[in-house]
Amino acid sequence: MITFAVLAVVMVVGALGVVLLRQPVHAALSLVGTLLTLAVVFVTLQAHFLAAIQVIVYGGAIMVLFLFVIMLLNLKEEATKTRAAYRWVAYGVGVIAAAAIAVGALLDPRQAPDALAVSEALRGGSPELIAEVLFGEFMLAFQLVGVLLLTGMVGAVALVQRHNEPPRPGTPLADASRRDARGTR
Amino acid sequence: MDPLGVTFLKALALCTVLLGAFAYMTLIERRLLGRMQHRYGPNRLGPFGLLQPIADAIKSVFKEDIVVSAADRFVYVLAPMISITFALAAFGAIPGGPAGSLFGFDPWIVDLDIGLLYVLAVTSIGVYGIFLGGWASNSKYPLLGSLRSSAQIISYELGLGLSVLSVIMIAGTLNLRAIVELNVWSVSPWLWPPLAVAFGAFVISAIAEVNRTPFDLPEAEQEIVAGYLTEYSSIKWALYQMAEYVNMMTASAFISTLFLGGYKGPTVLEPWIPGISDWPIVWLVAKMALFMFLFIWLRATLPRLRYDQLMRFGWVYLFEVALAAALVTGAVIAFVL
Amino acid sequence: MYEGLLMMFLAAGFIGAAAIGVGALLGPKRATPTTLAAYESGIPASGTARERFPVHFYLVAVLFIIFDIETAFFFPLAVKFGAAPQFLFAQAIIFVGILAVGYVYILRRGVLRW
Repeated sequence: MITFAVLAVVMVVGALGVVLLRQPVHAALSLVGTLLTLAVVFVTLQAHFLAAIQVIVYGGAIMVLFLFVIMLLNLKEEATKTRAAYRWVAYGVGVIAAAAIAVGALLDPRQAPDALAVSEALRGGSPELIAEVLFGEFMLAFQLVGVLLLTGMVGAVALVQRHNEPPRPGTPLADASRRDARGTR
Repeated sequence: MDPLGVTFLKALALCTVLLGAFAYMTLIERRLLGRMQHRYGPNRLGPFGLLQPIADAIKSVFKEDIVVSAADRFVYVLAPMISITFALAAFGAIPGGPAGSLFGFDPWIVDLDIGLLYVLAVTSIGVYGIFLGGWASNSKYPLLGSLRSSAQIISYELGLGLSVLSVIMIAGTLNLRAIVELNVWSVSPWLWPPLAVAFGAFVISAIAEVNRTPFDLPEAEQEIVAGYLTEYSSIKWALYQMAEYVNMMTASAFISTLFLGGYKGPTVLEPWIPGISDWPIVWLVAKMALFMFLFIWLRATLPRLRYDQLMRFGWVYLFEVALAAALVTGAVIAFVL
Repeated sequence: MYEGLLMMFLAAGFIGAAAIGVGALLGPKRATPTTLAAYESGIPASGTARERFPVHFYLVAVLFIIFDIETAFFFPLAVKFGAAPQFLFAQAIIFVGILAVGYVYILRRGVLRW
């Protein structure tokens, strides 16, 4: 319980950092910290597999993309300054949303499920159990995830390479890669 | 399961041993490179240059610690810390022997059911050390180097993840000790071809992951000076070097554990010295030494790839070969066995 | 179990922090504006390093995420593979087949040709 309290505080501080830090890379780092702390929470719940996947997918992949995107946009100082009016609107929306979540959580008539029974049923979220469910009952959903990933892939490529443009001629890389590509792919 | 205090001491001991091994690996590497290139290498300080690493350590501590004025100070210090912490921590899950074989203690720090994923996950965080190091320096060469490097590391992580699938399919577990005890080669000769291909793909990906020749693009000094390391000096630079060598050692130990029976020794020696194949640490270190030598040998032999070659090799050839190996393993298990 | 992990990270973090602390204490501090300037092969540094960089890196990261998730799905599948090899193999083939369409597409569009 104490462990969880400490971790929860760390996560909330990390999440606040994401919102409040000025420098985008710092905010992204704060998010990395939050996500890694979430992985630690999974570890303390004995969900080791989930923790590892959390680190591999969120920590190792998605946040790297975030950092790349931040570098790609390279926001200058002035671009990160917001108009005061927008800020007040944002505060208002934030407070209302937080209040809505609090009200929803407190007024929910449903009984929270017994934690022990849940953890018993989940068996620590072992990969065996996940496989049983994922490739049995949710087989179709699993294949649909494949379609979703395919969509993402095609979408990203289509957005970035609008026209089927080869690398600009004249640049050394383009010449070299065209030379190498001949006969292979 | 050892008491907590013992676990901490073991963890500290492991870190110290890894750092000592790093210091002497630099010496061994320089001596071996010297031998391979018909020159001496460092041989002045002590017999065979054995005191050289100590001199290097003292030197790097007493060098001026420069933080570039344009740098982001906090991230600049944080980045090498991330690199070294996650590099060292990754080794903790690798088993060094059977339970209780190390003077009554377990020769590992943590024994996780998902030990395999733990090593993959923790090493995958190391990319932040490199990316942030280059970014925080706020200087052109480091930024280019760190970008290249992080793109390289994430690309070859795919090869790593896919080529390990064959082992998991055969072993049916992610626990590293169980994988060692099973020995994936003993299951069926039908599995040898895909397993051999997966092994090759895994070794190549691992070399790329630890940024060693021929994949040492971040240190392509003719193009980008020293890559993400350019603005680092003294102990922070040394920490990056440590992280690189510790990652090499983790990679060697990981390859040995997954594919070469890890801490198990050859059983042919059993008739003469009973129990020799269960000696802790010894066999793992011997197998690691093999791969460490391979890393150095490759460095002395191969030229560096060009960046476009590197990316295409990872995404096209390695990716396809590793995936094919996994699928063939699956097909063999499903339809032959 | 997780106490062991905590110990491991504590020890590893301690080594890093101790090294940086020792370096900061013992190293000389004689910085001049020249030593503190960014290194640009000896000429005075010009401009900032935080320039925009090629969109290609973004593409690599997106494709990495997609195939990383694919691999993440394969881990539980591989662990459980022995239970129903033929059935799971068929599922894996279909899944790989779907993603292979995208893979061929990115090859055709020359995304991996730098």
